[in-house]
Amino acid sequence: MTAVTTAGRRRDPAVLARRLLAALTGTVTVSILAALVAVGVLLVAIGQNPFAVYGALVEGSLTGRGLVTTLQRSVPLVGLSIALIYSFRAGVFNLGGQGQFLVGGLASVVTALALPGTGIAGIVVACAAGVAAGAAWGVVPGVIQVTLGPPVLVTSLLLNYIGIAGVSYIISLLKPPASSEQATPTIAEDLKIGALVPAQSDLGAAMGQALERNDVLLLAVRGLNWSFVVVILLVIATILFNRRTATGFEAGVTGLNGAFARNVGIRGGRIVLTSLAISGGLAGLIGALVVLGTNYRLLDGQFEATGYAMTAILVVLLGRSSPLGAVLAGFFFSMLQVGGEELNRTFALSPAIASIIQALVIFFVVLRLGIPFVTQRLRKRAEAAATGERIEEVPDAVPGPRDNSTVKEG
Amino acid sequence: MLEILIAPETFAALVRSLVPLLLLGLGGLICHRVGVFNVSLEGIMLAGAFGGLAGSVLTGSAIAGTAIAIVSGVIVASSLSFGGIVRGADPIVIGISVNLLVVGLTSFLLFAIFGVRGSLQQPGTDGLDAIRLPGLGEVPWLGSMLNSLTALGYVAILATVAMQLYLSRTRSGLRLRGVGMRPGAAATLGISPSRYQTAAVLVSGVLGGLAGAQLSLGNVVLFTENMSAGRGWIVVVAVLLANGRVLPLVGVLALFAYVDAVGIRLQSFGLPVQFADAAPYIVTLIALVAIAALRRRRGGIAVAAA
Repeated sequence: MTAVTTAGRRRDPAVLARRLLAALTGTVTVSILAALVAVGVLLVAIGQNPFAVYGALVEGSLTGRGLVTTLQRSVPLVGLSIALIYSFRAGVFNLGGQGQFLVGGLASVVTALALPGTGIAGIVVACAAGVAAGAAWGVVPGVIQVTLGPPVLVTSLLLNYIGIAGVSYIISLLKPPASSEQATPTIAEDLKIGALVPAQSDLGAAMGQALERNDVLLLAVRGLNWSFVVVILLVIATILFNRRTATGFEAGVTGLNGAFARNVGIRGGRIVLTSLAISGGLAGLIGALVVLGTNYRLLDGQFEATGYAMTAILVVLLGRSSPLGAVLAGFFFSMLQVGGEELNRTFALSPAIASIIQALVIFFVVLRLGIPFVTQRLRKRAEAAATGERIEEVPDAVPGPRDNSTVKEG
Repeated sequence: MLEILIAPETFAALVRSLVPLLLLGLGGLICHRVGVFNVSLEGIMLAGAFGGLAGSVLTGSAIAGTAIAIVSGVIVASSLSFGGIVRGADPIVIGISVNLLVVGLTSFLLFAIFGVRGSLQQPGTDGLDAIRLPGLGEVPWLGSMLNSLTALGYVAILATVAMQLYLSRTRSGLRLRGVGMRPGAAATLGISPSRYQTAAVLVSGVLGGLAGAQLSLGNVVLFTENMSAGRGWIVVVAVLLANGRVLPLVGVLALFAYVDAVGIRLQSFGLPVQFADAAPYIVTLIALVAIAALRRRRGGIAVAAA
């Protein structure tokens, strides 16, 4: 099955409509609904009206400033999810995103503090330091698994706790003696990643005049920084990597069936190391972007408090290790989080309600909840319409190089 | 400073740190032997800790609290067994989602029931006190260890012995190990693998719930969000290291508890708090790597998941 004919099928409106229907009755949709119903029951149990609560959640996260906050949160969350996709798609359970994210942030802030203000070049160097640190930290569990056997799942998680403590100690060394906060000094003005359209720029001023003060577009271009563009580019690059490169293809095959991959000559050890290095490097990059673009310094415990790294694991699971899935799931989970904080203000509910919905959705997805009868019938029709070839069985990730010989090169 | 390494207070702290790990570890061990990779130990323990303290605050009795802790642990464990054994879902993914669900649910309920955020500590809450033995408690060194045992500490000791006897001396224990090694072969002998697996997971729920109660009612009488703090994962590692055998498991967990105890006490000598925080994880990681390297050199079994 080649990518060209897949694209051709997708353009057929009848097939497209059936596939859309199949998706709407599929596991993910059913799981989200089931999670909302379950939490709704919980809300009724504590004397709240679930409809009012969900209404406020949507309003708080999808309108006005709330929407901008949701987008701001989506940037690091989707970025970290993209980072994790490189390992999860290859069947490597990298739970060390937290440590990789944090170590990258630390390396970039240390580099930025050591550099004299050198603008864009300085930002690139600081980000590169984040990538290098994240990759080095991330690859350690891979080396342990490949050489000795203990699984990445466990070692990567243990390394998180070591990384959190280590970074906290280094912050205590970097802290200015006069400061009462456990934080590094602030980076130079010149090294901060700016807003998409800063309010002071000509365009920003013109937009400020043309649009109303609370216009979402105005808030968005001022509230979002260039990390937004970097993450969009990462998404595109990841799609291309997965579909168009030999390594991306091999990683996908290894994730689907490790034994098969070994038998066709894909070296599993190399895949584990490569995917962890890329995962760690990108998580480190996101750490650098958060430091340089949002916080401008590293405050002890700040990265852990955001919960981005752990939520990213759920985002990857919900998005089934596909980059576009991560974008959708990442936006949805950010929306829940921002809405959850709004509920905390308006309904005096714990913001933890967002994490409950998130974890329940994944729980139900793993249970493969669905309306089996409906889904199967729709799927069969879609398949029949698409010349009988089975599309649905093959995840999005797999269409890769058309020339099979590339597999053997790896 | 070095006398800390052998001071009686250090060993008393070791015992306090060891009891919850041991209870949880036995739960992980029985799952390992029956062939279920239980990564939701963290969630089971956290649910037990919350259920234990909340139960004691609401009912005024630590015993009732402990019972509620067991129920909480079993509920979490049964969601794992339903997902993993009945629906055949990936045990790792389901374990991770269950863990995160418990983190969210406990902080949600903490706020919904008690109106507090972060931690719950109410003066006068009934806790599980350490039992002071009249005669043996006077023995130097050993006495300070015995005197820091709560009732759950004695349960942990009994459970360790019982687990060893069950696995090695009973028919059911033999069958359970058989299911873990060759589920297909066990099934041809008329043993239902899924029944043994479900039972083992539920037992880990009971033991993990007790471990949580020891955390929130025994060692201290308070609950804080995420108070299990990665202990569940350390237990997962310990079970892998011990390869599912009881005595080595006790050894690995005691090493972990010892490092924990020494680290906490060294803080009074100016050791940065971050080192004490990281020490148990560093030691666990080093032990994992070192034992794997040794086994590899001997050409024995590699340390690997399930």
